Amino acid sequence: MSVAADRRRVALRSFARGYLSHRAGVAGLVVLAVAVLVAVLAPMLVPAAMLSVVDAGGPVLAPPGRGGLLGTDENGRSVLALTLVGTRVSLVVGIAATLLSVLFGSLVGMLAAHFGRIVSAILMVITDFFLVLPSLVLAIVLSTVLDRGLVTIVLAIGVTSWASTARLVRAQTLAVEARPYIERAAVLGGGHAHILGKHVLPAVAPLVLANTTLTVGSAIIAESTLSFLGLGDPGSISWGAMLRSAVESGAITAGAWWYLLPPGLAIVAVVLGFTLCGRALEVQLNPALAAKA
Amino acid sequence: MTLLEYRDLTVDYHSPAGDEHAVRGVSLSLPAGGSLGLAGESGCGKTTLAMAALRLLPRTARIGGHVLIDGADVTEMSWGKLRALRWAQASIVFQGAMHALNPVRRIGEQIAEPIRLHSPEVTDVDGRVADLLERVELPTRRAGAYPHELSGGQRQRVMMAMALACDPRLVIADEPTTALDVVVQQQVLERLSALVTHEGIGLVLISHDLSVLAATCERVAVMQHGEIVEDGPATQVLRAPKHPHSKALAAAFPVIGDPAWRHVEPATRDPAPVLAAERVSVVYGGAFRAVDDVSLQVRPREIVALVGQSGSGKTTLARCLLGLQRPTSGVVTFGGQPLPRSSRGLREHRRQVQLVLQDPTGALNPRHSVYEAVAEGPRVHRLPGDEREIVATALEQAELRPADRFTGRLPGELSGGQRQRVVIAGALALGPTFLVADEPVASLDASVRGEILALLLRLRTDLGLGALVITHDLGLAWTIADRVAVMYQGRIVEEGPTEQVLTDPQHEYTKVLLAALPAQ
Repeated sequence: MSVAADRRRVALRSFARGYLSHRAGVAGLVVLAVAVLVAVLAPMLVPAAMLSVVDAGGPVLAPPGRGGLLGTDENGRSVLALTLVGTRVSLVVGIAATLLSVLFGSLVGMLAAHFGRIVSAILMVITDFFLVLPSLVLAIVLSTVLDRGLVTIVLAIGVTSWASTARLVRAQTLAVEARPYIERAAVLGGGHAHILGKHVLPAVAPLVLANTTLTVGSAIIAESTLSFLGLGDPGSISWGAMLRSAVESGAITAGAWWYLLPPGLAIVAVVLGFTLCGRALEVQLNPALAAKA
Repeated sequence: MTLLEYRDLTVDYHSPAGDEHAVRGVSLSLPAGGSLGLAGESGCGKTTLAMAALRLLPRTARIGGHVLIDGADVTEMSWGKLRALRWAQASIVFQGAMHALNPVRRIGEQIAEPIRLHSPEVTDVDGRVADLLERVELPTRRAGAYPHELSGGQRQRVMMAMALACDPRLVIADEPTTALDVVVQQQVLERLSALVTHEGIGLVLISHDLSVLAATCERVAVMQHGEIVEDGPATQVLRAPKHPHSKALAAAFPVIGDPAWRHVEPATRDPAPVLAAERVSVVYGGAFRAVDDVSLQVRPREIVALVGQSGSGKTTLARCLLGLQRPTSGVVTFGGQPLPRSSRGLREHRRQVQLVLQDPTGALNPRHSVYEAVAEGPRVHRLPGDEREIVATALEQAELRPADRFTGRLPGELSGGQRQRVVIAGALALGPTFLVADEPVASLDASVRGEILALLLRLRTDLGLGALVITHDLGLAWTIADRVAVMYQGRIVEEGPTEQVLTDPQHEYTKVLLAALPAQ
């Protein structure tokens, strides 16, 4: 129906306008855009030779100036190059883990709230179990048991973070299903799939979206933590791995601050970007949260 | 001494879309110990007028003119004097007690709150609270209850107790009986009248129902579009209104027993019932019998009114008839066959019997356009034919013409009556033979009620649609029902042709219901 499409276009435009009026949200969006751009263009910006331990050929642990813009690591590789390439892994793992946890958590939350009683009891017990489990410990165990690699990290983070999304979505679904139009849909003959797909999901989606952007931030930190602990893929370069190498190679005792700061600041910048975007989205989608004039 | 006086009061709401003139130059006065009724439809400005007396309007409102309480101008009062005025001199019983009470605090604490704020020197607050509860005829042991544990009428009485907590001289009651059924309404109105006569409290009563005002107030003022269009003694405004709008308001409420209000001709009907409940019982928790051994039959093309108070079990019975709830015992039959149990069978049943809900605002998904709302049923059932045509036909049958003007709109852009028509169109789109309407006009304005009821009658003539109308409003039953069934505490206590049951009631409870109607 073209009328519906028109309305959606108008709604999107007013949403965009409202979002852009928040400076923090715009700043976050800019940071994320830069990060995504870097991640996409990394192979072009950084030739493979610069990342090779064998071929890098720069001075070892040289400070900025003598060793290039951001100094070099213990293998003579440029820290700037490593930081740029590390964006890929961090973003990919962060986003993939978040998608996994949000999709699964939303599904569990919606089903638990919609079917209630036994189904809800079982699902909620499982959710509470994962909620209470110390996520880092579980992630470490998973990484030890399964093959080391990015997929394992994605799995580990996803498994430990879906529970809070499930709780959130369940609460929101309960609120939505209390409204009379859900009963009307049932009276019209709608089955479970119809009610969940046409009524519940569109009402719950904005909340989930805002929650997702915030979850990506914590997923990226989780990935950095796991890499720092040595559980990541030893071959790939990520900010957490850089921090680990820094510690292992004695950069701290050597006073090589240029090895620690760039990856640390990069993590902060990207997570802050996601958080600011998430906050601005929340305010847009839930006008009650907007600061009162 | 004039207790309350509005002197040429104007209230405008500023918004980016423009100014809205809610109240335009209203002048009214109320003597001490007097009672004034404010009548008007939703949106006429009566609540704004009431809120202006205590300066409870939102920041976007601009007040012009004066409001004087006991000679002091409220609009120019300092914050300290205003705080002292609020509740200690004048208080409000808000509309919708369900939303005005804090759901997580006990009612005893909520009644005590204004006492503690205004009279911190009072030591026996609990005693005062118990005394207030007695004045509104609530058992004192209920002071420890939470709002959700009380019925609608009890909550309204808690609101009245709160309003009386600091012994005000003026009480403004905003639609205190709208959501209540007839018997409870009568009790609440009696309490309000007693306040005026025995305690000399000035009362301003706001309602859209002229008969309620005539029963309780000395004078009635009718408002329309922010202006007072008529002002006079209550009986005169009710019986012999002068202004066309007052006439419309007075005419909107049927007089039971008056054949001019009966819009149904008796006709012989096919005796085989289309929808029947045979000895249906619904028991909760093994003990509470919501529906107790009820047998009810509805014949094709017949309109049956199921009348009863809130809590009588009528909605539960309707849900059983629709297949939304399974009865604990007994059988529901449609066309002679018991209702199917499988979900596919129930789906088929849905095409034959449809539901019109009470609150049209909540019944429509605010994100779906009118087209999507009406097309939902046909889509779920995958009805053959052009979907657009089905939707357009259904909208035209519900008298939303031309259909194109409405298909793209959202529910928020429509009036209450139009939304109800959309809900009816959604039900009609499936081509049912029977409608179950749960309080179809309770949340609508007086003038719109008549239209929706006329629509139901026209659907019977044009489409052969029978209906089971659930209501607490006996006037509605008198207007459109062929038969009336009266329900009390889960049982049907009286049943028969409308003229007979409502003019010559046999059962005690029916007599109570008829006697509780406000002055006719």
